[in-house]
Amino acid sequence: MAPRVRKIAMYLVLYSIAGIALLWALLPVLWMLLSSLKTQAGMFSMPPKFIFKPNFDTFAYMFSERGNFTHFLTNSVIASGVSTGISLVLGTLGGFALARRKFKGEKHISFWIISTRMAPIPAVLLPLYLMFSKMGLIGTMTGLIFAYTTLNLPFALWMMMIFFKEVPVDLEEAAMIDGCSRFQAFWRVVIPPAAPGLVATGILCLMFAWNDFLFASVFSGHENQTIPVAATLLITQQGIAWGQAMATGTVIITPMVIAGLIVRKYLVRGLSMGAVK
Amino acid sequence: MKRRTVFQITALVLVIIMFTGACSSEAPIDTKSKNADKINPNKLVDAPFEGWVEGLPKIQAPEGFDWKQFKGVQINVISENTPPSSALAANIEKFEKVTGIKVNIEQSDLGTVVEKVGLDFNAKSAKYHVIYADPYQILAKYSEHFVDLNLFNKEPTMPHIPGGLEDFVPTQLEVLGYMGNKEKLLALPYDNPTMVLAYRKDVFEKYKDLFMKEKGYDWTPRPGMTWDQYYDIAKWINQKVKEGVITEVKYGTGHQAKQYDSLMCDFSNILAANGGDYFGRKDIGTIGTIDPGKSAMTSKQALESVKFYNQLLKEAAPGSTSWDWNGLAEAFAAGEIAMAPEWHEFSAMFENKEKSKVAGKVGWSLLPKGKVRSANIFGGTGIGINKYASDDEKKAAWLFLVWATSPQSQYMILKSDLGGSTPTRSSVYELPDVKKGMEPGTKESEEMPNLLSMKSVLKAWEAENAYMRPKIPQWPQIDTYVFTELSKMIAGKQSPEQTVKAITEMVDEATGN
Repeated sequence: MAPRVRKIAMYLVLYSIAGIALLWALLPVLWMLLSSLKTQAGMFSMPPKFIFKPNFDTFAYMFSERGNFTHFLTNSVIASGVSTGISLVLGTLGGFALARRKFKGEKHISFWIISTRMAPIPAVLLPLYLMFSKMGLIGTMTGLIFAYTTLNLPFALWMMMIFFKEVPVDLEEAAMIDGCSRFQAFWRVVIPPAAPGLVATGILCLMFAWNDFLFASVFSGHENQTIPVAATLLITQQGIAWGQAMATGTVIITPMVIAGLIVRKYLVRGLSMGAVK
Repeated sequence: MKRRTVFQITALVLVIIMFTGACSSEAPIDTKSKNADKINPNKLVDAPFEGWVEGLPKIQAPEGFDWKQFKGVQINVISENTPPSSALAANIEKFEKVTGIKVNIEQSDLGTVVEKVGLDFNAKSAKYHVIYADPYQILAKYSEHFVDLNLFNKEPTMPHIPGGLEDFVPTQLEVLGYMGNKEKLLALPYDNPTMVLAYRKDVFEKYKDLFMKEKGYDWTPRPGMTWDQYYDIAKWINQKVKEGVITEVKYGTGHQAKQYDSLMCDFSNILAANGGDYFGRKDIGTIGTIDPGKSAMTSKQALESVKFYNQLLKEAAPGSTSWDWNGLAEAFAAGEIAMAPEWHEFSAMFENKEKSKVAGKVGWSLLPKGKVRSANIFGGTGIGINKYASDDEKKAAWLFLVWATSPQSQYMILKSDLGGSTPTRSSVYELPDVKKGMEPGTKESEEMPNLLSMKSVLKAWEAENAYMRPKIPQWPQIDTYVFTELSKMIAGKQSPEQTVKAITEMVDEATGN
């Protein structure tokens, strides 16, 4: 086989595999999006229709007073946004300290921090519940934010420590020689090159909190249920509200997809920082 | 003092504190009304709720009882996402207006409810004051964490259960209200789904003569029909569908045989109908026990039932092995199946023209008879009070229980477009409009579509037709063993003999026998 033909064949195979993988990943999402715009009867019609008149009734119901979805959406935004913000601020400061400061047992501390993420969530639920219960945090938004921060902070610390290690110490030292204080050197010289890492960490923390069901189901109360918890209300003893379930799924994934697309450049750069050295 | 000594002393002090904390005795509950000294317990007065329904017992309190005495108290109710909870949540302002108590009704799927209640009880916390006490997953396991409701019901200065305990169906009160003995009343019946047979009236009417001609008996589902006949009918329908004679449905029968709790429920109807059970003790399904004894799955009846179920599933709609009760209901509503053992509260869904193609075509009957009887599994739940709540919260929760389980509220739930659940109170079924609602084609049956299944359900609740699964703390684990092993058998991975053997061994290990 001629090299050119072989190359074309190879590309064909590779693109076919990529196409199948893409279809495998996107078909359920596409199905969900289309179903959210169909009537219940249309959703289960066989063969399925891909061209139809869209029906926005389920979305209208979700955001109506009875559907109360705006309330769940607001809770999700607050819980995930605040916990991500706290994790990023503390993770950045802590990660910088771990990256720069030399002290006894530094590696052990770093490992201990990340090891807290190694336990499965159900294993930490009871101790957290006991503590939160004593502190009166069960059923509160503060409790939920604390719970998310408990898991996001070690991750953010570890990630930021790695990113800061990639930033040459010489840059800070040069800035300090030029008159910057320690904080100014950190803020003006270290943070900009570590920004992709910061964004990547933030997005991953946000995704964890946004998609979480287990913590939210246990620690949230009647007033602060998040969207994934609200989605379970659609499964009732008298059947599943498929239309609303599909619309809820669509609303859950949309912000993360948009956020991912906006910051994908940083995400890729951040996650590959230090990959080639 | 050396650091090590300080550490040892601190540890010792902590251990002593924990030990004394664990051993501390519980303070008795104050059940008296706050204004007990101004109350005349000998005279009862109607509560200031509006919209009383004539013919039903009213909520009453002793003269002088201040319904607003717990104003400002907030109680959290945790419940499965069930029709009564949705209906109560939608009408909660009626209770809040009279009592001034703020009620938060939190609904989730049952697994989440069990997990949250377990965490709350284990932490001896009272995030939830009113608990959805599923008898098998919550009450049997955590009975010691519930308040004895007799303390409130017998307290002269507090409102009592309107209509009395005798207005609840006796077997339902036993299974939902008690655990181990009848000394403490731990919960009040709240909802009552029961499995009966849903069938396509149109199909059975249209092909009645043809079936009679070929098989020689009336095939219309009714009390007395046997499981063997059921199998025969299902097989005949499948055959006629293949021949192109029957076009209204695709399969004779459908089942909820997914590897899940639903499979255990579906199978238990046959096991109990043949005189079998998971344990030998008679009162295990009602009062419950912590010591069930050895497994009864070694019995001849159990093996016969397992064999029959395996055979029946071969004739069932192929989707059956992936359906729970929701999946089965959707398939039935889509017009695929002629007969299905299903929870009676799906009647509302079947009669909903937006969700169902079979509205107006559905009949209900008792489940078929086995070697001994018809057995219709009961799946109801009660509501109780968390004993770790403060006294004021407990009393506020008691007022909520009195209201939520009252015949008046149960009737409201039945009529609610969000609820549709069927009442737990016998008195409600005596109302003329409720009786009319049990007849197909009436205005009342359109307003309260779940009533269409009620004639059969009321029969199913009679002691000889009801089946209550074992109420023991180990049940959730045993349930998993049962449906897992049955699922293996249905998938052809093991024989019925191997199935009963495996279930028996695992059950005995779980119960320590």
